[in-house]
Amino acid sequence: MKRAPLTYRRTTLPKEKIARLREIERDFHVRAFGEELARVNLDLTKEERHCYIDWMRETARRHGVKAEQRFPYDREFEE
Amino acid sequence: MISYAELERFYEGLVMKLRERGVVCAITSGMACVHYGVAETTKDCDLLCHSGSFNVLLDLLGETEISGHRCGYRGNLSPPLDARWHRGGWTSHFEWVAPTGALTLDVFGHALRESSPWPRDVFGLYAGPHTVAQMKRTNRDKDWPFITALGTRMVEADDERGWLHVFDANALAELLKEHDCPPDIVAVRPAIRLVQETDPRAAGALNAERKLWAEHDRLRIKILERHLRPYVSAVRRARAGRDLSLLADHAVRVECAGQHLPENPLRDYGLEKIVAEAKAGLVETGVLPESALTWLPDVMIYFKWLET
Repeated sequence: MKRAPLTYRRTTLPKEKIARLREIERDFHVRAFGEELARVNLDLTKEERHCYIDWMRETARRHGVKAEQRFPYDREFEE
Repeated sequence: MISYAELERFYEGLVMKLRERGVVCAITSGMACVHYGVAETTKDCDLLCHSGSFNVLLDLLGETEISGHRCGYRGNLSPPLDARWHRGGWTSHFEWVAPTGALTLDVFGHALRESSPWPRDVFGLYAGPHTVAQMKRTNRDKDWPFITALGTRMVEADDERGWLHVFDANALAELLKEHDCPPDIVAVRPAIRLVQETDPRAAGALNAERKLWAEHDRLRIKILERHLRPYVSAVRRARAGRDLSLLADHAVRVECAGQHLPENPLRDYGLEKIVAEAKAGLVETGVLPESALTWLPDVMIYFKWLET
């Protein structure tokens, strides 16, 4: 399975329309995330996507990218 | 470093254990995006949990260790896991400081910006995409492509609520050429009408929506932060550097919150006032022209839960 389903309902849309909507979705992913991540999101299996996320995290760690400090609970106020 | 698959197994296991104990809960935010097929380098788990079951969750966290490391509240800032404060939009934050890296858990009694109760929109172990997309309307730029990605997929799955989450002008225009947007959705989101009419102001109207959400989030955080200062000082003094058990730390936080943390500061400040100030701020700083306010949706439906 590539992606978890979003609903229990079966779609009533014709196949051709779904194919066109998927093209639009792919175009958006390419614009917003880049070609590589678009492939990760839309073409890889869930397991492959997890491996890619691990690679991204490890690469970020090796290059000293600090984890994001989300407000406010990852920070402390000064005394 | 703990792998993503292990992280997912751990947190999904936590949700399954909670469900076995009768708790209504669901994973949301970044992990939910990954689940629905939008990769994000998250290592935090955001958990929606019915506030009536917080005691069960607290007990489970207290008994769940990772490599012998127990769960604790994260830092001094986290408000207590208590329904009184979660009803007012506070959230609680936990961590396991394991040798393989800290695992963090953020707990929400309410989905921030939920337009209807989140338990109605749960799908498997995860919050539904509608809830996830609403929660991601933050002041962080990186969240916005994820919202549109979820919205686009929802439209593709014939879930009309997806139209509320597409913020990319090109994607919205292309989707509208292929698929009808129901009139009741157009009525609550005026920018869609501009896109339908190929009005040149459409992209600006969508941007105005996004700017409003970001500014609203910034004001929300500012209000919460003001109240956190005396609370965090009190927690720090009360804990006095001691290594407390989760339940003992919880008791300290409930005590300090009772004295220093208002239960519903956003409602006290005025929900409509926050929206009005967000709009005024955007116009005053030149981020938006005043005319752009015409195309903004009524966002108060996303904050009704704070009034009940």
